[in-house]
Amino acid sequence: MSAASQNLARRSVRGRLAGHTPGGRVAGYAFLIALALVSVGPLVWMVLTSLKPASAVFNGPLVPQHPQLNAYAYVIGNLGIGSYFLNSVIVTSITVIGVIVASSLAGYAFAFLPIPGKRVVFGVLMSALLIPAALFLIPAFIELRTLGLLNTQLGLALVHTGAGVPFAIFLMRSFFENIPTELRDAARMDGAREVTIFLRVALPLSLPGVATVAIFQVLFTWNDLMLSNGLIQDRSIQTLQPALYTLVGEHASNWPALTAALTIAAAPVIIFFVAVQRLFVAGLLAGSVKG
Amino acid sequence: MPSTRRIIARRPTREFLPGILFVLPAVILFIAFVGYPLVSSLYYSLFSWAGYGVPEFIGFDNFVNLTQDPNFQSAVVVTVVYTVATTILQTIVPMLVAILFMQKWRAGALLRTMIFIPSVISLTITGLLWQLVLQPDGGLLEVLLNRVGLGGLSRPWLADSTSVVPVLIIVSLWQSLGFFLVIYYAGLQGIDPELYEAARVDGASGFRLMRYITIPSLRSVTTLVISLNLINGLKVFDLIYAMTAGGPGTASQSLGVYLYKLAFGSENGASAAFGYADAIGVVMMIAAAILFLVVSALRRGRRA
Repeated sequence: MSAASQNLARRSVRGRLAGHTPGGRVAGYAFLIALALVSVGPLVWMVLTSLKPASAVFNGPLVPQHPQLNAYAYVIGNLGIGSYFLNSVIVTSITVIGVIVASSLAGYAFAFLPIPGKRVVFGVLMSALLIPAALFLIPAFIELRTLGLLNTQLGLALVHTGAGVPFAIFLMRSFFENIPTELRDAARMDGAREVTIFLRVALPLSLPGVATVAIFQVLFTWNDLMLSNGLIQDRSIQTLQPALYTLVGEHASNWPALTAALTIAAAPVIIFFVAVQRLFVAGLLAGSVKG
Repeated sequence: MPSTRRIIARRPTREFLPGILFVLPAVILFIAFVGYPLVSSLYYSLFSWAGYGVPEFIGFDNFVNLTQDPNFQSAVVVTVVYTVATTILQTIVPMLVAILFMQKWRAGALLRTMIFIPSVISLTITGLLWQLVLQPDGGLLEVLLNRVGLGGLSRPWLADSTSVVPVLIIVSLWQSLGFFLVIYYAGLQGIDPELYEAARVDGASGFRLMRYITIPSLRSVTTLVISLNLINGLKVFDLIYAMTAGGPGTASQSLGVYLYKLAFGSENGASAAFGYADAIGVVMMIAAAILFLVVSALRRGRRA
């Protein structure tokens, strides 16, 4: 849609509701600003609390008078949050790479190539989108134990990959379907093999799709609690979310340390997503809404 | 093209080869780590088993026991209440906020980003953070209530079995508002402006435009949002586990939390009951299948 017609759309909705009168404008601003403050308020409080000395948490002012980083030194030095962070990075990286490779190949096949029982296979994969992780957690636990992969980062990453593949295939297929058939046909005429067409023509044109898949998968894997907590019980290789959960149980009254740990876990994701927000929205539109 | 059809009809196996090879990694990963575990959870649900030793076949006893298990019944109630309430709130509120955002607001993009931020942090962090925010001594909410002279309203929100589920529902809305707002906002950009022009020529304005053009045009987006909410509600685990662990007592224990506690032993040292937990999983699978049918019906309705 062109910028001009988008403006037109905006203008046609605009002025119909609250914003019609000056009073409505003020009320509208008040409401939206309040909503934005409620959204970030608890997070700001989290950061402020992490900068306080333990003694000033329960009776001091909301904004610390003498901000200090002691709590951060404590959770990094004494609680080893850095190693949980690293474990999360490892599990998330393996998963994202696995999901991208598997889903871009499969998405391409579902978009263009003949496969026996194509619809059925695709349907089965898509029905998995509805299935709660709780359902396959226990058998996956037993399976990993049998394979000797329980309590390993690879084992957890493999289950994440299997669980992430259906949605990623769904996204990749819709991105591939937007590639003009003429391009593929032209490459075919030149005698290119399927793998070459995929690598040289289709994949480069679908990089936004790959980015969308990566963004979603980072979100799913980094933020997961149930699989991560269930499939890795050995504390030394635990990922961030279960570690945070344990931490809050064990240091319930040390609020600066807790909020510092939460901040360390939340900050990278917030920064990453604010940076890629546009891509995220574009991907949502291309993948989910249209499909 | 008749020629194409003839080729498909006698397509040799060799022609399928690239396609099969391309889907193979994904299919193997899926079958190995999702498909096979799913099928075996159906199987284990017929056994009495703690996860080690020899499983004992007990037929449908696990399911019979579920019907008499008060913890299961309360988990069903919690899950249904949570799912229905979050679906309604998280479908309607983001839609109205998105429509409001379509007007020209100074710093609108900044305000939208601020509202979007909670939706990228994990439900674990959300739950743990709100647990602190809601603490009756020293929590942010209590401090703020005291500031405005409403300190009397302060109470142990999460320790009270009547307020705990509503509080969880509101925190869920806090977390997910921005995500659904972004989806609706994107959907609103796609509405054909001529629809509004035409309606205005016919004398429609204000809420009539919203009722007869904006909301109907958002139908496919709304269906998507409802579907996501229903599924997320059914499988709710992270937020509740992190915020209340199902408590006080079992007042906020959802099916996902109950299953998890049964399987991995809860804090009070109960022994693991994999078979029984799997029976709950099977019940959830059936519920998911029913939801799937509901969602498909919604989709069909959208196309009609």
